[in-house]
Amino acid sequence: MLTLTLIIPLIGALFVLLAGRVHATGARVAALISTVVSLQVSYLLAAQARSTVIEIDRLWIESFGVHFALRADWISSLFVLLTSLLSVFAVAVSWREIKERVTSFHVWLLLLQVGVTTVFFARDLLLFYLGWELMLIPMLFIIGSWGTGRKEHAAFKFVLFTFTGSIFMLSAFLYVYYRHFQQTGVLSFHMDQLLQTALTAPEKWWVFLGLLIGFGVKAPMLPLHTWLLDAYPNAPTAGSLLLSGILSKTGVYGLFRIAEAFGQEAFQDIRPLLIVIALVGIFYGAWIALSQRDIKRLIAYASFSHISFILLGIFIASEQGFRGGILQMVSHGVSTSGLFLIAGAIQNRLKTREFENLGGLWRQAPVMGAFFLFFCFASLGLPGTGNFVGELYIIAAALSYHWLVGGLASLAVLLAAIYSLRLFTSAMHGPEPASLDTFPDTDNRENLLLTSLATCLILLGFFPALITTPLGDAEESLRRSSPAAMATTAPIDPISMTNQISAAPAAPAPQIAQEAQQ
Amino acid sequence: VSAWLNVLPEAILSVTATLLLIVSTLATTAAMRDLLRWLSTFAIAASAVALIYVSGRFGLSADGWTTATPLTTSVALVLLTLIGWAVLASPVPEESAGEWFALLLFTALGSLILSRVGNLPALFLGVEVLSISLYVLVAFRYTGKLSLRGGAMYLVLAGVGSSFLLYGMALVYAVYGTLSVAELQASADSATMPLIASFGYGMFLVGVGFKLAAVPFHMWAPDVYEAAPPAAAGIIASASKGATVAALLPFAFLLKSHFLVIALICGASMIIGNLLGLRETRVKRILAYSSIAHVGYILLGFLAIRTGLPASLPANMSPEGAIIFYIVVYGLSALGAFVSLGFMRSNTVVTLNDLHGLGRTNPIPAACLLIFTISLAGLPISVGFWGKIYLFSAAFNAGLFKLAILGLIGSAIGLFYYLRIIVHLYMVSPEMNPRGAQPLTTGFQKSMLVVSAAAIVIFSIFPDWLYLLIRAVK
Repeated sequence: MLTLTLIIPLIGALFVLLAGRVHATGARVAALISTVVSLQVSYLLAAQARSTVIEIDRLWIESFGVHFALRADWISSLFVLLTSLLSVFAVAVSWREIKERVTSFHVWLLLLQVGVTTVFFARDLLLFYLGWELMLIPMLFIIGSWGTGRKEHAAFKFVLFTFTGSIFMLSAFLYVYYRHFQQTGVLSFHMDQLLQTALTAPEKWWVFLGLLIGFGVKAPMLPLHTWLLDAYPNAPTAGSLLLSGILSKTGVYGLFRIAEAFGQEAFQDIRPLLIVIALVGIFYGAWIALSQRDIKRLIAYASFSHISFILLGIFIASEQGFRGGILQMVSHGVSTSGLFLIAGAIQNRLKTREFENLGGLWRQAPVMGAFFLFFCFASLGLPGTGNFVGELYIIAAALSYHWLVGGLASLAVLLAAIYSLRLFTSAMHGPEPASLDTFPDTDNRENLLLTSLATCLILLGFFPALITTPLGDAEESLRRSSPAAMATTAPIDPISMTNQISAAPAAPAPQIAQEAQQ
Repeated sequence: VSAWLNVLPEAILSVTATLLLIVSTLATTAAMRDLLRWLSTFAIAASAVALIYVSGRFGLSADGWTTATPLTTSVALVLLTLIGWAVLASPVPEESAGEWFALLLFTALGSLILSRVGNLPALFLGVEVLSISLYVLVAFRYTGKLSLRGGAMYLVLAGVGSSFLLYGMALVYAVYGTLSVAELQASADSATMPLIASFGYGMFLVGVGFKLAAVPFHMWAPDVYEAAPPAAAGIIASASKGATVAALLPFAFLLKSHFLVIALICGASMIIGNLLGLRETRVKRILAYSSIAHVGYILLGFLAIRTGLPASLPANMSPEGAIIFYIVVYGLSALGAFVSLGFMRSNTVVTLNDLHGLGRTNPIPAACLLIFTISLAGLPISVGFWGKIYLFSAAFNAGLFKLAILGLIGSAIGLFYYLRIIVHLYMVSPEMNPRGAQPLTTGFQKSMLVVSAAAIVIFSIFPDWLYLLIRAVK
């Protein structure tokens, strides 16, 4: 089943190619079917991975020691679930928006899904790197061919930034690979084996630094974020949705899964600095978001600010911070997708995103207005949404780390409220601009999409234990390379106490299930 | 008899080439031209078979002119395959098909001599056979001013390179009194190098640098590549460089005395080659700069031979293996890129704007060019990526961290201009193209292009197969 998550989008891409020869809608339908099937499969997989770790390990390229090694534990399968969910949305939002070269667009979308899924599941560093780079080319085309504004420039900048970052990452990987080879005489990129490599303290520093740059670009972390301003707003709706919803999460995922694992001591040393960077990122993103005059740019910076918030949780590295980070990653993926979806809908209707050309839309489009309000509130962390719980966790973690960090983090929530409300009021309130004549409300398709996103958020808000309960074990598995050494106790989770129903399937001792051959 | 048998592969090529020159006047119809094409392909194939036979029979104890090790045999086979592919896939000039194929066979002959070089005269002979046929190939469309200029430029600068080479060899001979590579190696290992010999080897390296178009001896490359017919440019970039590197391999003992020089050339090629490509707008010149950078990567592998590596090192981590692998990968991609470009745009100067929308008007060659470009850029999961991983891990293994990281940075810079090719191919609508679309010549050549692109894709997913293929020759 694990391999299926990779194969289904590939087969889907093939069908899209075939169906696209007949009719453009055929390509859309084929892509939709493929993404829905992957969603189903990854749901089943995630349900299984709640209690057991599913693993595949086969030697792929002998002369380099590259393994086709995938591992699905709760965290990775959770993000794959998010990926397949957002892929369905990406296909659905493009239904009307993409009119030219429909076939190739959907092929790229599905290839992107393959890349992201590989990144989340890969247990072999080179496989991980392949998936990482496999995300690049589809995104290059999606932004460059179907974007708006200075799309080629945006696409270029995105690819160059990420690729340069990944060069550092690859150097770090190769270095560890080489050291491992020197010490054991075994050629292998398998993470479990490479983690056994004994590195001296300065070596760990360099490795960690390389990985930090590689993952930091994608997340994006503070000084490496400048591509975002071009890429997010100029991408087509599906592109911005996937960029902010999933691709940014791969950066964070890599940070806590790989960078931390290889450079733990270095991470401990540099932690205060990283926390400061994350804090500055929160305020910087929020501050610039406030001064934007364009819906998508505002959302882009808001998204940057939120990612920094997530990074704060991850960097604090306490259990609470980690849980909050994961929860917030999922919630942010969903809520920012909703925002980009609405922004895309407005842009498609009016051909503009500037605030001065917008206003008073709520009168003509009450349903869209309501959804917009909901997602803005979600983004500022309204109680009842998953974002609130995530932020709560992170602030709690920050407070227990240092009172000043916690205080500043809670202040950031206030800033989020200001820019979110500004986003909402400038589009929906106020006088209608003269240029505006008719503004159709959301149609059934959009209503369906927005409702399901909103449902997800509320579900996360009321039952966060759905995600956080199995985390305890998965978190343990992060720290240890050998699965046998995993902890057997599920830590007590304050929120799951109040939701005994959902906490009931608390994970038993995780076992490794070697998946049978497909 | 057996001494003569050893040069059977070379003999087949030279005899067929001469024959082709004689019958070239008869090649007036398309059917005749196709016949010549198949004849040349057959000659190359026969030469490859003879080579396998000969190297199996004589092993290491060949005569003074050639050496036969598994390494040299596989390099030679690789080069023959590349040129054979060029013979099959390249469009033929109508008037002078005989000469065209004869010259291609002569380049194959030169590469063959170079790849199993046993002494210095053989080396010079190989270099000259290769270069002289390439001078003519570059200027093959001799009615064009650009071609003539390119040919003349190549003639002069490669001639300068050859004279450096010859001067260096003469000095080395003056010191050691031997021309055999094996004896030179032995004497370089046994004692410290006298100043004059060191100087001679320096001259020798300069000559090789000219042939490879490594920085700082690279200035001829862009003009020549632009002037040459696509297949000729592809051969200069792939087989000619591969052969020169192969001829350099037995001189690995120079790494002890001239390490710094080679390291500087290598680093400069990787960085400067890629930097020069950034501002260029003419596609063939971009590919020329890319080839300069790739020479840098290959030299990185050569430098990695230097250190006393641990004895436990598995064969598949050897720098020599990495170099051969890279010659195949890079050669196939560079040749394919030039040829597929030639299919879409037959004019000599091709700017990036001429590529606009070709992804839609000429989908198949454009897709091939896309695959070759991705492979040249070394983006995962292309076979070019595996080649780089292979070279860079060999470099890491040899402790060349700084150079390897420099190379990685260089390839990040290089990505920019490769991406520009892709962007212009696919992301601009065909209406923006100053020239219209161009129909493809024949279906057969198109299928050759597709076959090689497919080979790249297959080797991308299973690099082991290519690796095993290379190692199978023993």
